[in-house]
Amino acid sequence: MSTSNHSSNKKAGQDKVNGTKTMNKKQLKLWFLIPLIVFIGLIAMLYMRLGKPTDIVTNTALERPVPAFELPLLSDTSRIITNDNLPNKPFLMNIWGSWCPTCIIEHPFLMQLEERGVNLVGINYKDEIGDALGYLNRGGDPFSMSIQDLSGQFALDLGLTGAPETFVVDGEGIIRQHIIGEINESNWQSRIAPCLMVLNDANNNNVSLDMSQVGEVCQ
Amino acid sequence: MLITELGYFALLAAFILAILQVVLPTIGVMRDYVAWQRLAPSLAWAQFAAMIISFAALMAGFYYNDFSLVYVTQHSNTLLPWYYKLSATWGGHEGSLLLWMTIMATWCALVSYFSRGLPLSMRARVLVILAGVQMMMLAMLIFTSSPFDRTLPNLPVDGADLNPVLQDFGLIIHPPMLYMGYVGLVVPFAFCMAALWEGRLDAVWTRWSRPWALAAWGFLTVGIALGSWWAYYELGWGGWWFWDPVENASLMPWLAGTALLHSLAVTEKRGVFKAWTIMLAIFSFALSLLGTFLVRSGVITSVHSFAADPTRGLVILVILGVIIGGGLLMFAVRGWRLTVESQYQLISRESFLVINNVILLISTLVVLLGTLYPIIADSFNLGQVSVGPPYFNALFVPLTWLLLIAMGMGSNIRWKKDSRPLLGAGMVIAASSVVLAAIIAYFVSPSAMLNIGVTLAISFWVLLWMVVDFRDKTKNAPNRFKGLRQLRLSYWGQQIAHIGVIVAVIGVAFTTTLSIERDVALGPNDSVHVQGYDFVVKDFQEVRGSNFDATQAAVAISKDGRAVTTLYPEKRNFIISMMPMTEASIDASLLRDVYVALGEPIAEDSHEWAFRIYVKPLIRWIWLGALIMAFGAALSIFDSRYRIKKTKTLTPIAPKPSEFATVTDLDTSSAKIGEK
Repeated sequence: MSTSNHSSNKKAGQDKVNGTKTMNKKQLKLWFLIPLIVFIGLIAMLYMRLGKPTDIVTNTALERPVPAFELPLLSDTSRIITNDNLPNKPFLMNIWGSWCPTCIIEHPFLMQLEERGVNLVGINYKDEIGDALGYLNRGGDPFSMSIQDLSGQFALDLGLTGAPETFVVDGEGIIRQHIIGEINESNWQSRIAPCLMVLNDANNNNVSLDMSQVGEVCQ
Repeated sequence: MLITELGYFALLAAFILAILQVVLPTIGVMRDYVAWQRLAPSLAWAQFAAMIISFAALMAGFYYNDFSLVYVTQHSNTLLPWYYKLSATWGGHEGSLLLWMTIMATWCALVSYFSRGLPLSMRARVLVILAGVQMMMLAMLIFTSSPFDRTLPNLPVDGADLNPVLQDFGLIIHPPMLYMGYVGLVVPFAFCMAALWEGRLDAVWTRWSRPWALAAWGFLTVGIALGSWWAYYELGWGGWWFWDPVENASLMPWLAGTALLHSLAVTEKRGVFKAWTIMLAIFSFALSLLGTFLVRSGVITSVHSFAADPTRGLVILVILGVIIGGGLLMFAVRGWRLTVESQYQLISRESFLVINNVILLISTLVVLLGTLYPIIADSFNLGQVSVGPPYFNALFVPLTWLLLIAMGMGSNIRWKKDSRPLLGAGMVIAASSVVLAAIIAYFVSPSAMLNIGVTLAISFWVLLWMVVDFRDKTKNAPNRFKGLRQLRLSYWGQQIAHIGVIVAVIGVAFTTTLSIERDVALGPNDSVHVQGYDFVVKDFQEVRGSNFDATQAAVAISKDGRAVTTLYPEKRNFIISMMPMTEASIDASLLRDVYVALGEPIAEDSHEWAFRIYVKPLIRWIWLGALIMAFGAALSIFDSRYRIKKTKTLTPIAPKPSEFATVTDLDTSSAKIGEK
């Protein structure tokens, strides 16, 4: 039935696989092992990712100053905000959009954070101004200010993967933590609050940050 | 409620039946106990019944508001209309997994029904592999995420809300369709595994698995199209594809599945690429499992993934490792013995199908890399870039063009060797399609000629080759009509599916290039002019649904003074979850959609609202094309060549040279590699 099996000796025929090209049997076997090896590698990689906290993955903007920007204020687009207008105390920078379902879920918790005195700066990401303002009117405005990032360029500079995401920025304007996905009571307690506390302590006592401590609690 | 308890027992029963379906026929196969092998189909049916009971019980739990179930409490409430209560069954993680497994059991039952004519040893093996997959998935469902967990003793009075985004007709049908496709890819996988396990060197099993691959692919096509359509009208931002990880998770198995369909054709007809086909079958199913993994584990955060859970992710990873790792191990141990049964020349359909496979595989890898990049970058401590639509579009558009160019030519070329003088015909067709496309593109939109022009030229290229092929295939018939009637159903299926691809591609090109989007603030009696249409806001009304309040605008649309329609976009506020939702209103037609979405009031107490208006030409073609593709797949499935005949001895023993291995010569030609 096949060109390779002319041989009357069945065994010899089987050794001459792959048509007329008589490839070395061992070599051939190796080729068929490759997919398995690649797959094992992939699984190992996925497994290593699983062990880590899943809400923090990126590190492009980490340990760097907030990228330079000149963007309009959401509530009054004639006013242009730059890095100089950012708070000089540690704060959270939250990227949100009225179109983003997870942001809507996250919103009540942001309101709670504001009540607890956390300083939040909003980056309104690729949103319609009408939608965005209506969203804040309805759900409440937890942000000390919201900056309009219509083109998404600023968010791209920050290394955004999707909304919502939150950056913890220290008093010097350096990004210390990046949370992907919603923030809620659980990751607030376990990751964000400890980090913010270290940054606040350093800022209030006017001492420079203990980098090993920052590395430990913020990442 | 007692009925949900019954559902839980049925689920446990299905799990035990799946274990039996793995163990007993396996012993039967190893010891040659025919009676034990015969148990496989019966067990498949029993398992199917158990899964249906379990699923129906959960549905009943939703219908009768059984808030003693955590899952029901989290996804439903008494205010929800009854049809959303039923569809809420698959609105969350646990329920959608239960749906996955119910569909799996359905495929099992279908396989055991339609494989009656198969040799018992093969039939038993296929069902064992199917049951093996089902067994692991059921174990995960029961032990990590049972939808039948109780809230007792603190029984809530009412439940939370089903996510408003999901309260929609699209959600009723989209997941089942998509899952039919996802899960359906397990069948070709099982056939490949069974063939390797049995030590089949021939390619008969490809003929048996082709209709299953077609069916799964058809469902997947419809499922993806429904998802895209749903996102388009429900999310209110007018897009139809976002390159979101969840969408990519469904696109990857589709692309690999498309490659598999074509590769199966070559292997079945010509006996070449056997190992390649098996690889593709494993790869397609791996991608559909990986899709489940990505969406459910939180490894990648997506706009869509509401709940992410790493422990479940680990379990799915183990399952993925065992199933796909096992498949690849089998492939490594046995696959190298597969034989090549024919030769082919450079100008042959085989070559073109290689091109098809290469392009589709590259596309799959493009999507896979884009989706997994955050993970890969993290593992190797590379930095991170946001992988977004620009990356995908930049690579996907040229790949699609290349694929279509190969498609036009490839489906004309003959198997093995084509020595006809095709170059001349090709030149004529190429020239005429470019001229035709240039003329049309010029009249449609002189400003954006390139994108549309190239797409149109390639589409004409494919269509004209198709005409050539129809002429060629019918030239020996007494007249054209008779000739067309003599063509096989699978041939019609192929051509229709290819037309579907063209329709969808033209839709994509026109919509992306020529859509108009306008954001305006409008109050009562304000009007705006967009792309030849006049939009006049008549009034705003407060309306009330069973579980939401809404503001509804009436927008009259006219063109050149003639009224077209009145649209009623809504802004809904869901009472229990307090979530606002945009309900867009769309005037759809084959040539263009007019789409109006209501935003928010411009300011508090303002009578002006933000409106978003789109005019989108040919957007319906995208989904229409998908439906045509699925219809083509359905036609092919019903081709009589796939019907397995039970009476082996009555069919003539002289197969045509091109069909070297049919069911008839099974017993003589299937060389066993296991015994040495």
